[in-house]
Amino acid sequence: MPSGEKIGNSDNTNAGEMSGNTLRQTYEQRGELTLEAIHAHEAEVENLEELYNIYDKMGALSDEEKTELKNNIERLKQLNSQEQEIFSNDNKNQQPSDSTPETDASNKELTNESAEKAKAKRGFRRFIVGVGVSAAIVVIASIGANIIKNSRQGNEQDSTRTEQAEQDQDTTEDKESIAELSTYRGQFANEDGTSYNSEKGAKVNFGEELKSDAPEAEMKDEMLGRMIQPGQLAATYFYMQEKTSNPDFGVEGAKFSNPDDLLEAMENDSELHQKVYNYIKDTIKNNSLAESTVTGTFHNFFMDSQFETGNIDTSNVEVVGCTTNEDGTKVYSLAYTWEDKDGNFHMDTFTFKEKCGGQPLDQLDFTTTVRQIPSPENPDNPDDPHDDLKPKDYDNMTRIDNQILEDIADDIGTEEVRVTPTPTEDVSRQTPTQKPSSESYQGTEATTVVNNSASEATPAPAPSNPQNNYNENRGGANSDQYAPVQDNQSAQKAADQAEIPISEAPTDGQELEDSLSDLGIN
Amino acid sequence: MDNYLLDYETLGGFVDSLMKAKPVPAQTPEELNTLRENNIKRLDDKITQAVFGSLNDSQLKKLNVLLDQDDGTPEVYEKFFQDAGINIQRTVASAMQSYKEEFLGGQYA
Repeated sequence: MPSGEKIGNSDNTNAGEMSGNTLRQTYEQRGELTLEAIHAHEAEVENLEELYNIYDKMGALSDEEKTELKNNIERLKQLNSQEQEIFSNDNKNQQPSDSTPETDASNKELTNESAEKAKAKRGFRRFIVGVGVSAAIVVIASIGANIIKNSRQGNEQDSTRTEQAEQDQDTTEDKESIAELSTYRGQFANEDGTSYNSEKGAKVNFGEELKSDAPEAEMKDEMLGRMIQPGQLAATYFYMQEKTSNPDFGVEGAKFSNPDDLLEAMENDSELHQKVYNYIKDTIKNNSLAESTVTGTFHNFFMDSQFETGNIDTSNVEVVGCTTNEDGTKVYSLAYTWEDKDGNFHMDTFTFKEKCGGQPLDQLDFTTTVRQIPSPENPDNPDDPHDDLKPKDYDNMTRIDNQILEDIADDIGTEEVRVTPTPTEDVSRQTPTQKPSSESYQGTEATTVVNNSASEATPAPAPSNPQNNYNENRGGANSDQYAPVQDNQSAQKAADQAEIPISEAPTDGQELEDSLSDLGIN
Repeated sequence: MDNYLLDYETLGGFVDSLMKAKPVPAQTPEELNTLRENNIKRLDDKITQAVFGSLNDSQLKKLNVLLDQDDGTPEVYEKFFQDAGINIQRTVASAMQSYKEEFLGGQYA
């Protein structure tokens, strides 16, 4: 780094005034400018960012705290960057003379050569696959949640679990194949040697600059405590899940409202793995399960496979995410790796949600993804011996999909019906309604009558009420085609009074007789 | 044997997770598969570049010698990177993390 170039942006520690040389001297004096120290500092910043993100999502930080933490994180990042640059420069000075920018082409050629060779070498691939799987677990798990934890660590109050972890470690060491992939067990969280492998309450080193107030250390302790519980609950849940599917177990449904019921059931279960038993017992002992009820229907294919081998315990479940939904529920994500009977390594991730506000669980859901990864003995592992590892209701899911499609067809018809009907030749949606435009229709013009005469107005004539006179032709439509009605009321009146029988009519009724005869009426 | 540095299943699982988090705009299953394969290759290239790019010429030559001996166990390579002062796990994770961010940022959609 050019001497005198400023670093940092915080006023708190004069970091902005610190030159590269000063920084180097500082670290050299402290004896900490080593690669390990640099990596540890990087891990600290990453962990701090993860915690910040979580607490930010939880709404647990005030604006002032956010600003302060952001500044700290940024400042540490810059310091770390400076460290790396200094270390890199120092390291380059110790490199052979052929490591110069002029040899970039050569370097590239060597890189390609090494890469191609490495891809073909079994030993290297076994090495890199182990590394890659571990990295993939961590990075994949960080999607949607940003914290890496190992639930095995951190509960100093639980001596049983500590012993269990040690036993598990011994077991791991006994298995050469597992040892070759030992990196998959939470190593990321621990490689800085400071934070997540420390027990709860232990001092957490976030670096010189943050020691004065160190709110993050408290945060991390708290998070560690939070992370333990999901692992316990998960194991308990697994157990319930397994036993719910076994009708001979004697427990109806998945309800263990009384923890003693669960304990009793466990004690009578000869198949229960001792590790799992201890773990769940500890969970109950810690009252994590008090008054809890687990309901629901879940896929249990995952647990079937796990209990087969007794793989499930606390040591290989990592809580990798914790988010809080708007409705207050918390969703925990856990990653889990295990080895099946055939020596294949599996990587599973699953999530479950916890009702906010308490230890008691109201309902758990979980989904799981089973991924088979190559074992050290079989890095390519083209075959999947666990094709049968599918949800038991997998076919149901397909059937449900089909049923939904049928329901849709019943409700709204098939595609042919749903299309817009074709208009007839005479009428279409585009046929405009014929109506006068505003220009052609002028309406009637109002007549304004103004009485501006000085003389007294002549009274209007009284309204007449004439009798209808149908003899009068008053004009009108087609009036010329019809003769006026001859309404001789006086003659009619006289005829009515005379009451002349029809037989005595002038025509002697013959005319009427004829008409009736014509109509066929006699 | 596939021509990947990492194993295909791990790469595929990683890419699947990314594609689940951020679906790619594929119109057909074939197109989706093509995008998936492209991402797997791209991811492996990025990891390869990160792993071997972290070594200088001298270290690369030493590694080539190791590879030529063809009796290297995983522990040999682990020790090699340790001696070279390279945290290989962090290197690979950083490459994956970088790829994840690029993918979720829409760079490879």
